[in-house]
Amino acid sequence: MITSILSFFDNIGRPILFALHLMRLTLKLSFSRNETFQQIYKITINSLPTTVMAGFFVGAIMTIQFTLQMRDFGALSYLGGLATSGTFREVGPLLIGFMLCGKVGAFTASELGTMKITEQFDAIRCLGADPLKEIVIPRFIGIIVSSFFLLVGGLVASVAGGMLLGILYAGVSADEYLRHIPRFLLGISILSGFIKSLTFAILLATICTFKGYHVNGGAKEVGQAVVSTAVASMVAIVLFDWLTSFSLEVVIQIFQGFT
Amino acid sequence: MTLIKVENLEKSFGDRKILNNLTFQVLAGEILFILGQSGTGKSVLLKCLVGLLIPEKGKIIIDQFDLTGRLEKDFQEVRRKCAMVFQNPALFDSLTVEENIAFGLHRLTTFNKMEINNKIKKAVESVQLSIKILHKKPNELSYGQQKRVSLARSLVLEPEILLFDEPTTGLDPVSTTAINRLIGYISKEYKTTSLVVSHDIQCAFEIAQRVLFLDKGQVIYNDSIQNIHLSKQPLVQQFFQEIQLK
Repeated sequence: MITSILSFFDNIGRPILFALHLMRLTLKLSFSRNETFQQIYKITINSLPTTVMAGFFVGAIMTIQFTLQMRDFGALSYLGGLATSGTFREVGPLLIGFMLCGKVGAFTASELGTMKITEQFDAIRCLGADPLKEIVIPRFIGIIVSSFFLLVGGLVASVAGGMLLGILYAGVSADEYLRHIPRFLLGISILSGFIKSLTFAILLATICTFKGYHVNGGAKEVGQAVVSTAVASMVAIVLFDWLTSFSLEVVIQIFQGFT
Repeated sequence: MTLIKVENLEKSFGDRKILNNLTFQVLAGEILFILGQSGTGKSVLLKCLVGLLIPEKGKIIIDQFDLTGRLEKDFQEVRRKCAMVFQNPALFDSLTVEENIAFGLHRLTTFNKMEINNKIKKAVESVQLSIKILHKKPNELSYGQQKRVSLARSLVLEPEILLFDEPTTGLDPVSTTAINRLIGYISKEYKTTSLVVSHDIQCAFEIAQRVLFLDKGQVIYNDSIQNIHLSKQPLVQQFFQEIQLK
Protein backbone atom coordinates (compact mmCIF):
# COMPACT_ATOMS: atom_id res chain seq x y z
CA MET A 1 0.00 0.00 0.00
CA ILE A 2 2.72 2.45 1.07
CA THR A 3 4.79 1.40 -1.95
CA SER A 4 1.84 2.15 -4.25
CA ILE A 5 1.35 5.59 -2.69
CA LEU A 6 5.05 6.35 -2.98
CA SER A 7 5.05 5.11 -6.57
CA PHE A 8 2.06 7.35 -7.37
CA PHE A 9 3.82 10.45 -6.03
CA ASP A 10 7.04 9.37 -7.73
CA ASN A 11 5.21 9.13 -11.08
CA ILE A 12 3.85 12.65 -10.64
CA GLY A 13 6.86 14.22 -8.95
CA ARG A 14 9.58 13.12 -11.35
CA PRO A 15 7.99 14.68 -14.47
CA ILE A 16 7.38 17.90 -12.50
CA LEU A 17 11.03 18.05 -11.41
CA PHE A 18 12.09 17.23 -14.97
CA ALA A 19 9.93 20.06 -16.36
CA LEU A 20 11.29 22.50 -13.77
CA HIS A 21 14.83 21.52 -14.73
CA LEU A 22 14.04 22.07 -18.42
CA MET A 23 12.46 25.45 -17.64
CA ARG A 24 15.50 26.47 -15.60
CA LEU A 25 17.81 25.61 -18.51
CA THR A 26 15.44 27.42 -20.89
CA LEU A 27 15.55 30.59 -18.79
CA LYS A 28 19.35 30.42 -18.76
CA LEU A 29 19.09 30.33 -22.58
CA SER A 30 21.40 27.33 -22.57
CA PHE A 31 19.85 25.33 -25.39
CA SER A 32 20.25 24.96 -29.14
CA ARG A 33 18.38 27.93 -30.66
CA ASN A 34 18.75 26.68 -34.21
CA GLU A 35 17.24 23.29 -33.37
CA THR A 36 14.44 25.03 -31.41
CA PHE A 37 13.40 27.14 -34.42
CA GLN A 38 13.53 24.05 -36.61
CA GLN A 39 11.27 22.21 -34.17
CA ILE A 40 8.76 25.07 -33.98
CA TYR A 41 8.67 25.22 -37.78
CA LYS A 42 8.44 21.45 -38.20
CA ILE A 43 5.72 20.89 -35.61
CA THR A 44 3.65 23.84 -36.86
CA ILE A 45 3.92 22.95 -40.55
CA ASN A 46 3.37 19.22 -40.04
CA SER A 47 0.38 19.62 -37.73
CA LEU A 48 -1.30 22.68 -39.24
CA PRO A 49 -3.32 20.86 -41.96
CA THR A 50 -4.71 18.37 -39.44
CA THR A 51 -5.46 21.08 -36.89
CA VAL A 52 -7.13 23.33 -39.46
CA MET A 53 -9.24 20.43 -40.69
CA ALA A 54 -10.22 19.48 -37.14
CA GLY A 55 -10.96 23.12 -36.29
CA PHE A 56 -13.14 23.46 -39.37
CA PHE A 57 -15.26 20.46 -38.42
CA VAL A 58 -15.42 21.43 -34.74
CA GLY A 59 -16.85 24.80 -35.80
CA ALA A 60 -19.30 22.98 -38.05
CA ILE A 61 -20.37 20.59 -35.27
CA MET A 62 -20.84 23.40 -32.79
CA THR A 63 -23.03 25.26 -35.29
CA ILE A 64 -25.21 22.20 -35.85
CA GLN A 65 -25.61 21.63 -32.12
CA PHE A 66 -26.48 25.25 -31.38
CA THR A 67 -28.85 25.43 -34.38
CA LEU A 68 -30.92 22.56 -32.95
CA GLN A 69 -31.34 24.44 -29.66
CA MET A 70 -31.72 27.98 -30.94
CA ARG A 71 -34.13 27.37 -33.77
CA ASP A 72 -36.88 26.66 -31.20
CA PHE A 73 -36.25 30.03 -29.57
CA GLY A 74 -36.05 31.92 -32.83
CA ALA A 75 -32.60 33.16 -31.86
CA LEU A 76 -30.63 31.95 -34.87
CA SER A 77 -29.10 35.40 -35.38
CA TYR A 78 -27.02 34.74 -32.24
CA LEU A 79 -25.77 31.42 -33.65
CA GLY A 80 -22.37 32.71 -34.77
CA GLY A 81 -21.63 34.41 -31.46
CA LEU A 82 -22.55 31.46 -29.26
CA ALA A 83 -20.94 28.75 -31.39
CA THR A 84 -17.71 30.73 -31.76
CA SER A 85 -17.54 31.66 -28.08
CA GLY A 86 -17.99 28.00 -27.06
CA THR A 87 -15.35 26.86 -29.52
CA PHE A 88 -12.81 29.50 -28.50
CA ARG A 89 -13.25 28.94 -24.78
CA GLU A 90 -13.55 25.21 -24.50
CA VAL A 91 -13.81 22.88 -27.45
CA GLY A 92 -11.05 24.36 -29.61
CA PRO A 93 -8.19 24.21 -27.07
CA LEU A 94 -9.33 20.80 -25.81
CA LEU A 95 -9.55 19.24 -29.23
CA ILE A 96 -6.29 20.73 -30.42
CA GLY A 97 -4.68 19.49 -27.20
CA PHE A 98 -5.94 15.97 -27.89
CA MET A 99 -4.77 16.12 -31.48
CA LEU A 100 -1.30 17.21 -30.39
CA CYS A 101 -1.21 14.30 -27.91
CA GLY A 102 -1.80 11.79 -30.65
CA LYS A 103 0.39 13.43 -33.25
CA VAL A 104 3.21 15.44 -31.70
CA GLY A 105 3.32 13.87 -28.22
CA ALA A 106 3.47 10.28 -29.43
CA PHE A 107 5.99 11.20 -32.14
CA THR A 108 8.27 13.07 -29.73
CA ALA A 109 8.18 10.26 -27.14
CA SER A 110 9.05 7.67 -29.77
CA GLU A 111 11.74 9.87 -31.34
CA LEU A 112 13.45 10.56 -28.01
CA GLY A 113 13.03 6.93 -26.90
CA THR A 114 14.60 5.66 -30.10
CA MET A 115 17.47 8.12 -29.75
CA LYS A 116 18.01 6.88 -26.21
CA ILE A 117 18.08 3.18 -27.04
CA THR A 118 20.30 3.71 -30.09
CA GLU A 119 22.83 5.46 -27.84
CA GLN A 120 22.48 8.86 -29.56
CA PHE A 121 22.23 10.62 -26.19
CA ASP A 122 25.40 8.85 -25.03
CA ALA A 123 27.10 9.91 -28.26
CA ILE A 124 26.05 13.53 -27.68
CA ARG A 125 27.53 13.44 -24.17
CA CYS A 126 30.74 11.89 -25.50
CA LEU A 127 30.98 14.72 -28.04
CA GLY A 128 30.90 17.33 -25.29
CA ALA A 129 27.24 18.34 -25.36
CA ASP A 130 24.18 17.86 -23.18
CA PRO A 131 21.28 15.94 -24.78
CA LEU A 132 18.81 17.97 -22.72
CA LYS A 133 20.07 21.23 -24.24
CA GLU A 134 20.64 19.89 -27.74
CA ILE A 135 17.62 17.64 -28.22
CA VAL A 136 15.04 17.74 -25.42
CA ILE A 137 14.59 21.47 -24.73
CA PRO A 138 14.16 22.37 -28.43
CA ARG A 139 11.29 19.85 -28.60
CA PHE A 140 9.86 21.03 -25.28
CA ILE A 141 9.80 24.67 -26.45
CA GLY A 142 8.77 23.63 -29.96
CA ILE A 143 5.59 21.96 -28.71
CA ILE A 144 4.63 24.91 -26.48
CA VAL A 145 5.27 27.64 -29.05
CA SER A 146 3.79 25.80 -32.02
CA SER A 147 0.63 24.99 -30.04
CA PHE A 148 -0.09 28.74 -30.08
CA PHE A 149 0.12 28.92 -33.89
CA LEU A 150 -1.87 25.72 -34.22
CA LEU A 151 -4.56 27.06 -31.90
CA VAL A 152 -4.86 30.26 -33.96
CA GLY A 153 -5.08 28.23 -37.19
CA GLY A 154 -7.60 25.82 -35.69
CA LEU A 155 -9.80 28.57 -34.28
CA VAL A 156 -9.83 30.60 -37.51
CA ALA A 157 -10.83 27.41 -39.37
CA SER A 158 -13.53 26.74 -36.77
CA VAL A 159 -15.13 30.13 -37.52
CA ALA A 160 -15.04 29.31 -41.23
CA GLY A 161 -16.52 25.83 -40.64
CA GLY A 162 -19.19 27.21 -38.34
CA MET A 163 -20.11 29.94 -40.78
CA LEU A 164 -20.37 27.54 -43.72
CA LEU A 165 -22.73 25.27 -41.80
CA GLY A 166 -24.58 28.33 -40.53
CA ILE A 167 -25.29 29.28 -44.14
CA LEU A 168 -25.95 25.77 -45.49
CA TYR A 169 -27.73 24.17 -42.52
CA ALA A 170 -29.24 26.96 -40.43
CA GLY A 171 -29.98 29.34 -43.31
CA VAL A 172 -28.20 32.25 -41.62
CA SER A 173 -26.34 34.72 -43.83
CA ALA A 174 -22.57 35.15 -43.44
CA ASP A 175 -23.07 38.73 -42.32
CA GLU A 176 -25.59 37.69 -39.67
CA TYR A 177 -23.37 34.85 -38.47
CA LEU A 178 -20.35 37.11 -38.04
CA ARG A 179 -22.19 40.17 -36.70
CA HIS A 180 -22.77 38.83 -33.16
CA ILE A 181 -19.39 37.21 -32.70
CA PRO A 182 -17.78 40.31 -31.08
CA ARG A 183 -20.74 40.57 -28.69
CA PHE A 184 -20.31 37.03 -27.32
CA LEU A 185 -16.62 36.52 -27.89
CA LEU A 186 -15.22 38.65 -25.09
CA GLY A 187 -11.55 39.19 -24.44
CA ILE A 188 -11.79 36.86 -21.46
CA SER A 189 -13.06 34.05 -23.72
CA ILE A 190 -10.07 34.40 -26.01
CA LEU A 191 -7.71 34.68 -23.05
CA SER A 192 -9.30 31.63 -21.44
CA GLY A 193 -8.77 29.62 -24.64
CA PHE A 194 -5.13 30.64 -24.86
CA ILE A 195 -4.45 29.95 -21.17
CA LYS A 196 -5.96 26.49 -21.55
CA SER A 197 -4.01 25.81 -24.71
CA LEU A 198 -0.75 26.91 -23.05
CA THR A 199 -1.48 24.70 -20.03
CA PHE A 200 -2.21 21.69 -22.24
CA ALA A 201 0.94 22.31 -24.30
CA ILE A 202 3.14 22.49 -21.19
CA LEU A 203 1.57 19.26 -19.89
CA LEU A 204 2.04 17.49 -23.19
CA ALA A 205 5.60 18.76 -23.69
CA THR A 206 6.54 17.65 -20.17
CA ILE A 207 4.98 14.21 -20.42
CA CYS A 208 6.25 13.28 -23.87
CA THR A 209 9.82 14.52 -23.33
CA PHE A 210 9.97 12.89 -19.89
CA LYS A 211 8.65 9.54 -21.13
CA GLY A 212 10.87 9.55 -24.22
CA TYR A 213 14.02 10.65 -22.41
CA HIS A 214 13.67 8.00 -19.73
CA VAL A 215 13.13 4.98 -21.98
CA ASN A 216 15.34 2.07 -21.04
CA GLY A 217 15.54 -1.17 -22.96
CA GLY A 218 14.50 -1.72 -26.55
CA ALA A 219 11.71 -1.34 -29.09
CA LYS A 220 9.09 -2.70 -26.69
CA GLU A 221 9.88 -0.01 -24.11
CA VAL A 222 9.70 2.70 -26.79
CA GLY A 223 6.22 1.42 -27.69
CA GLN A 224 5.22 1.47 -24.04
CA ALA A 225 6.50 5.05 -23.71
CA VAL A 226 4.39 6.12 -26.70
CA VAL A 227 1.24 4.54 -25.31
CA SER A 228 1.78 5.89 -21.81
CA THR A 229 2.49 9.36 -23.25
CA ALA A 230 -0.82 9.33 -25.13
CA VAL A 231 -2.80 8.05 -22.15
CA ALA A 232 -1.12 10.19 -19.48
CA SER A 233 -1.26 13.40 -21.50
CA MET A 234 -4.94 12.94 -22.42
CA VAL A 235 -5.88 12.24 -18.80
CA ALA A 236 -3.79 15.22 -17.65
CA ILE A 237 -5.42 17.47 -20.25
CA VAL A 238 -8.93 16.51 -19.14
CA LEU A 239 -8.03 17.05 -15.48
CA PHE A 240 -6.41 20.40 -16.16
CA ASP A 241 -9.27 21.42 -18.43
CA TRP A 242 -11.58 21.09 -15.47
CA LEU A 243 -9.07 22.83 -13.20
CA THR A 244 -8.47 25.77 -15.55
CA SER A 245 -12.20 26.14 -16.32
CA PHE A 246 -12.96 26.23 -12.61
CA SER A 247 -10.08 28.59 -11.78
CA LEU A 248 -10.88 30.97 -14.64
CA GLU A 249 -14.53 31.03 -13.63
CA VAL A 250 -13.52 31.97 -10.07
CA VAL A 251 -11.20 34.69 -11.41
CA ILE A 252 -13.97 36.06 -13.64
CA GLN A 253 -16.41 36.09 -10.70
CA ILE A 254 -13.91 37.94 -8.54
CA PHE A 255 -13.12 40.35 -11.38
CA GLN A 256 -16.83 41.04 -11.98
CA GLY A 257 -17.36 41.52 -8.25
CA PHE A 258 -14.85 44.36 -8.25
CA THR A 259 -16.37 46.14 -11.26
CA MET B 1 53.77 4.14 -20.33
CA THR B 2 50.47 3.29 -18.67
CA LEU B 3 47.67 5.36 -20.19
CA ILE B 4 44.63 3.77 -18.55
CA LYS B 5 44.60 2.37 -15.06
CA VAL B 6 41.51 0.60 -13.69
CA GLU B 7 41.57 -0.51 -10.06
CA ASN B 8 38.99 -2.61 -8.19
CA LEU B 9 36.13 -1.31 -10.31
CA GLU B 10 32.60 -2.26 -9.27
CA LYS B 11 29.33 -1.45 -10.99
CA SER B 12 25.88 -2.88 -10.29
CA PHE B 13 22.43 -2.48 -11.78
CA GLY B 14 19.95 -3.22 -9.01
CA ASP B 15 20.99 -6.47 -7.38
CA ARG B 16 23.08 -7.51 -10.38
CA LYS B 17 26.79 -6.89 -10.06
CA ILE B 18 28.11 -6.27 -13.56
CA LEU B 19 31.72 -5.30 -12.82
CA ASN B 20 33.26 -7.06 -9.87
CA ASN B 21 36.59 -5.87 -8.54
CA LEU B 22 37.97 -5.31 -12.03
CA THR B 23 41.62 -4.34 -12.29
CA PHE B 24 43.79 -3.86 -15.38
CA GLN B 25 46.06 -1.41 -17.15
CA VAL B 26 46.44 -0.32 -20.75
CA LEU B 27 49.70 0.89 -22.24
CA ALA B 28 49.93 3.84 -24.63
CA GLY B 29 49.62 2.80 -28.27
CA GLU B 30 48.28 -0.63 -27.43
CA ILE B 31 45.38 -2.38 -29.18
CA LEU B 32 43.53 -4.20 -26.41
CA PHE B 33 40.66 -6.53 -27.21
CA ILE B 34 38.08 -7.08 -24.50
CA LEU B 35 36.38 -10.40 -25.06
CA GLY B 36 33.69 -12.24 -23.17
CA GLN B 37 30.15 -13.50 -23.33
CA SER B 38 27.18 -11.15 -23.55
CA GLY B 39 26.30 -9.50 -20.24
CA THR B 40 29.76 -9.78 -18.72
CA GLY B 41 30.16 -6.02 -18.44
CA LYS B 42 32.30 -5.20 -21.49
CA SER B 43 30.18 -2.29 -22.73
CA VAL B 44 29.55 -1.13 -19.16
CA LEU B 45 33.31 -0.94 -18.66
CA LEU B 46 33.75 1.28 -21.73
CA LYS B 47 30.91 3.55 -20.60
CA CYS B 48 32.55 3.87 -17.17
CA LEU B 49 35.80 4.92 -18.86
CA VAL B 50 34.15 7.96 -20.50
CA GLY B 51 31.90 8.82 -17.57
CA LEU B 52 28.63 7.74 -19.18
CA LEU B 53 28.19 5.41 -16.21
CA ILE B 54 29.53 6.05 -12.75
CA PRO B 55 30.98 3.04 -10.90
CA GLU B 56 30.11 2.48 -7.25
CA LYS B 57 33.63 1.54 -6.22
CA GLY B 58 37.13 1.59 -7.62
CA LYS B 59 39.32 3.95 -9.50
CA ILE B 60 39.80 4.90 -13.14
CA ILE B 61 42.83 6.96 -14.08
CA ILE B 62 43.17 8.10 -17.69
CA ASP B 63 46.44 9.81 -18.58
CA GLN B 64 46.96 10.76 -14.92
CA PHE B 65 43.42 12.19 -14.67
CA ASP B 66 41.53 10.50 -11.86
CA LEU B 67 37.85 10.10 -12.73
CA THR B 68 36.76 9.20 -9.21
CA GLY B 69 34.06 11.47 -7.80
CA ARG B 70 34.03 13.76 -10.82
CA LEU B 71 30.99 15.74 -11.99
CA GLU B 72 29.58 15.64 -15.55
CA LYS B 73 31.38 18.86 -16.57
CA ASP B 74 34.74 17.42 -15.45
CA PHE B 75 34.44 14.60 -17.97
CA GLN B 76 34.83 17.00 -20.92
CA GLU B 77 38.60 16.75 -20.59
CA VAL B 78 38.46 12.94 -20.65
CA ARG B 79 36.07 12.92 -23.61
CA ARG B 80 38.43 15.14 -25.56
CA LYS B 81 41.15 12.50 -25.14
CA CYS B 82 38.99 9.42 -25.17
CA ALA B 83 36.47 9.01 -28.01
CA MET B 84 33.93 6.23 -28.18
CA VAL B 85 32.50 4.42 -31.19
CA PHE B 86 29.18 2.92 -30.19
CA GLN B 87 27.60 -0.41 -31.03
CA ASN B 88 24.92 1.47 -32.98
CA PRO B 89 26.20 4.13 -35.39
CA ALA B 90 24.33 6.64 -33.13
CA LEU B 91 24.35 9.30 -35.85
CA PHE B 92 22.00 12.25 -35.50
CA ASP B 93 19.25 11.80 -38.09
CA SER B 94 18.45 15.47 -38.52
CA LEU B 95 22.06 16.40 -39.34
CA THR B 96 24.06 15.74 -42.48
CA VAL B 97 27.15 13.52 -42.40
CA GLU B 98 29.31 16.65 -42.36
CA GLU B 99 27.37 18.17 -39.44
CA ASN B 100 27.52 14.85 -37.59
CA ILE B 101 31.30 14.70 -37.92
CA ALA B 102 31.71 18.38 -37.01
CA PHE B 103 29.43 18.08 -33.94
CA GLY B 104 32.22 17.30 -31.46
CA LEU B 105 34.68 19.73 -33.06
CA HIS B 106 32.29 22.64 -32.51
CA ARG B 107 31.80 21.73 -28.87
CA LEU B 108 35.17 20.44 -27.72
CA THR B 109 37.64 22.45 -29.78
CA THR B 110 38.29 26.02 -30.89
CA PHE B 111 39.23 25.33 -34.52
CA ASN B 112 38.05 27.78 -37.18
CA LYS B 113 35.76 26.81 -40.06
CA MET B 114 38.56 26.09 -42.51
CA GLU B 115 40.43 23.89 -40.04
CA ILE B 116 37.21 22.03 -39.24
CA ASN B 117 36.54 21.41 -42.95
CA ASN B 118 40.06 20.07 -43.46
CA LYS B 119 39.79 17.79 -40.46
CA ILE B 120 36.43 16.46 -41.63
CA LYS B 121 37.84 15.64 -45.08
CA LYS B 122 40.85 13.90 -43.55
CA ALA B 123 38.66 11.85 -41.20
CA VAL B 124 36.29 10.83 -44.00
CA GLU B 125 39.20 9.74 -46.17
CA SER B 126 40.75 7.83 -43.25
CA VAL B 127 37.63 5.71 -42.91
CA GLN B 128 37.71 5.11 -46.67
CA LEU B 129 34.56 7.01 -47.56
CA SER B 130 34.04 9.45 -50.40
CA ILE B 131 33.63 13.14 -49.53
CA LYS B 132 30.55 13.06 -51.77
CA ILE B 133 28.59 11.63 -48.85
CA LEU B 134 29.23 14.69 -46.66
CA HIS B 135 25.95 16.35 -47.62
CA LYS B 136 23.87 13.21 -47.26
CA LYS B 137 21.69 12.40 -44.27
CA PRO B 138 22.49 9.23 -42.26
CA ASN B 139 19.38 7.45 -43.52
CA GLU B 140 20.69 7.74 -47.09
CA LEU B 141 23.73 5.62 -46.17
CA SER B 142 24.15 1.87 -45.78
CA TYR B 143 24.66 0.50 -42.27
CA GLY B 144 28.34 -0.13 -43.00
CA GLN B 145 28.78 3.46 -44.20
CA GLN B 146 27.01 4.74 -41.08
CA LYS B 147 29.47 2.78 -38.94
CA ARG B 148 32.36 4.39 -40.81
CA VAL B 149 30.86 7.87 -40.36
CA SER B 150 30.48 7.13 -36.67
CA LEU B 151 34.17 6.19 -36.60
CA ALA B 152 35.08 9.37 -38.50
CA ARG B 153 33.08 11.43 -35.97
CA SER B 154 35.24 10.05 -33.18
CA LEU B 155 38.44 10.16 -35.18
CA VAL B 156 38.09 13.80 -36.16
CA LEU B 157 38.71 14.79 -32.54
CA GLU B 158 42.14 13.17 -32.85
CA PRO B 159 41.75 11.36 -29.54
CA GLU B 160 44.59 9.59 -27.77
CA ILE B 161 42.28 6.72 -26.92
CA LEU B 162 39.60 5.11 -29.07
CA LEU B 163 36.97 2.90 -27.48
CA PHE B 164 35.10 0.58 -29.82
CA ASP B 165 31.94 -1.07 -28.54
CA GLU B 166 31.28 -4.08 -30.77
CA PRO B 167 32.14 -2.15 -33.94
CA THR B 168 31.18 -4.95 -36.33
CA THR B 169 27.75 -5.86 -34.91
CA GLY B 170 25.15 -6.10 -37.66
CA LEU B 171 27.66 -6.04 -40.51
CA ASP B 172 28.17 -8.61 -43.24
CA PRO B 173 31.45 -10.62 -43.21
CA VAL B 174 33.09 -8.43 -45.87
CA SER B 175 32.28 -5.19 -44.03
CA THR B 176 33.31 -6.82 -40.74
CA THR B 177 36.77 -7.61 -42.10
CA ALA B 178 37.03 -4.11 -43.59
CA ILE B 179 36.11 -2.42 -40.29
CA ASN B 180 38.47 -4.64 -38.31
CA ARG B 181 41.35 -3.78 -40.64
CA LEU B 182 40.37 -0.13 -40.44
CA ILE B 183 40.69 -0.26 -36.65
CA GLY B 184 44.21 -1.65 -37.01
CA TYR B 185 45.10 0.92 -39.68
CA ILE B 186 43.72 3.88 -37.69
CA SER B 187 45.48 2.80 -34.51
CA LYS B 188 48.79 2.85 -36.35
CA GLU B 189 48.12 5.92 -38.48
CA TYR B 190 46.77 8.12 -35.66
CA LYS B 191 48.96 6.44 -32.99
CA THR B 192 45.93 5.88 -30.79
CA THR B 193 45.45 3.48 -27.96
CA SER B 194 42.46 1.30 -28.85
CA LEU B 195 40.16 -0.71 -26.62
CA VAL B 196 37.91 -2.94 -28.69
CA VAL B 197 34.96 -4.75 -27.15
CA SER B 198 34.14 -7.63 -29.42
CA HIS B 199 33.03 -11.24 -29.76
CA ASP B 200 35.20 -11.59 -32.83
CA ILE B 201 38.19 -13.64 -31.67
CA GLN B 202 39.35 -14.08 -35.26
CA CYS B 203 39.73 -10.33 -35.58
CA ALA B 204 41.56 -10.28 -32.24
CA PHE B 205 44.11 -12.65 -33.77
CA GLU B 206 44.58 -10.21 -36.66
CA ILE B 207 45.03 -6.90 -34.86
CA ALA B 208 45.03 -7.27 -31.05
CA GLN B 209 48.25 -6.92 -29.13
CA ARG B 210 46.67 -8.05 -25.91
CA VAL B 211 43.40 -9.64 -24.86
CA LEU B 212 41.38 -9.08 -21.73
CA PHE B 213 38.84 -11.82 -21.20
CA LEU B 214 35.96 -10.94 -18.88
CA ASP B 215 33.61 -13.29 -17.09
CA LYS B 216 31.04 -12.17 -14.51
CA GLY B 217 32.65 -8.75 -14.34
CA GLN B 218 36.13 -10.09 -13.60
CA VAL B 219 39.28 -10.53 -15.65
CA ILE B 220 39.94 -14.22 -16.28
CA TYR B 221 42.61 -13.79 -18.93
CA ASN B 222 44.99 -10.88 -19.50
CA ASP B 223 47.78 -11.69 -21.92
CA SER B 224 48.73 -11.66 -25.58
CA ILE B 225 46.38 -13.26 -28.09
CA GLN B 226 49.12 -15.70 -29.11
CA ASN B 227 49.15 -17.26 -25.63
CA ILE B 228 45.39 -17.65 -25.41
CA HIS B 229 45.59 -21.41 -26.11
CA LEU B 230 47.66 -21.79 -22.92
CA SER B 231 44.85 -20.49 -20.71
CA LYS B 232 43.35 -23.06 -18.35
CA GLN B 233 40.09 -21.12 -18.01
CA PRO B 234 37.28 -23.28 -19.51
CA LEU B 235 35.49 -20.27 -21.02
CA VAL B 236 38.63 -18.97 -22.71
CA GLN B 237 39.35 -22.46 -24.02
CA GLN B 238 35.81 -22.66 -25.34
CA PHE B 239 36.27 -19.37 -27.25
CA PHE B 240 39.59 -20.60 -28.61
CA GLN B 241 38.05 -23.90 -29.73
CA GLU B 242 35.34 -21.98 -31.59
CA ILE B 243 37.95 -20.22 -33.69
CA GLN B 244 39.72 -23.51 -34.37
CA LEU B 245 36.44 -25.03 -35.56
CA LYS B 246 35.95 -22.13 -37.97
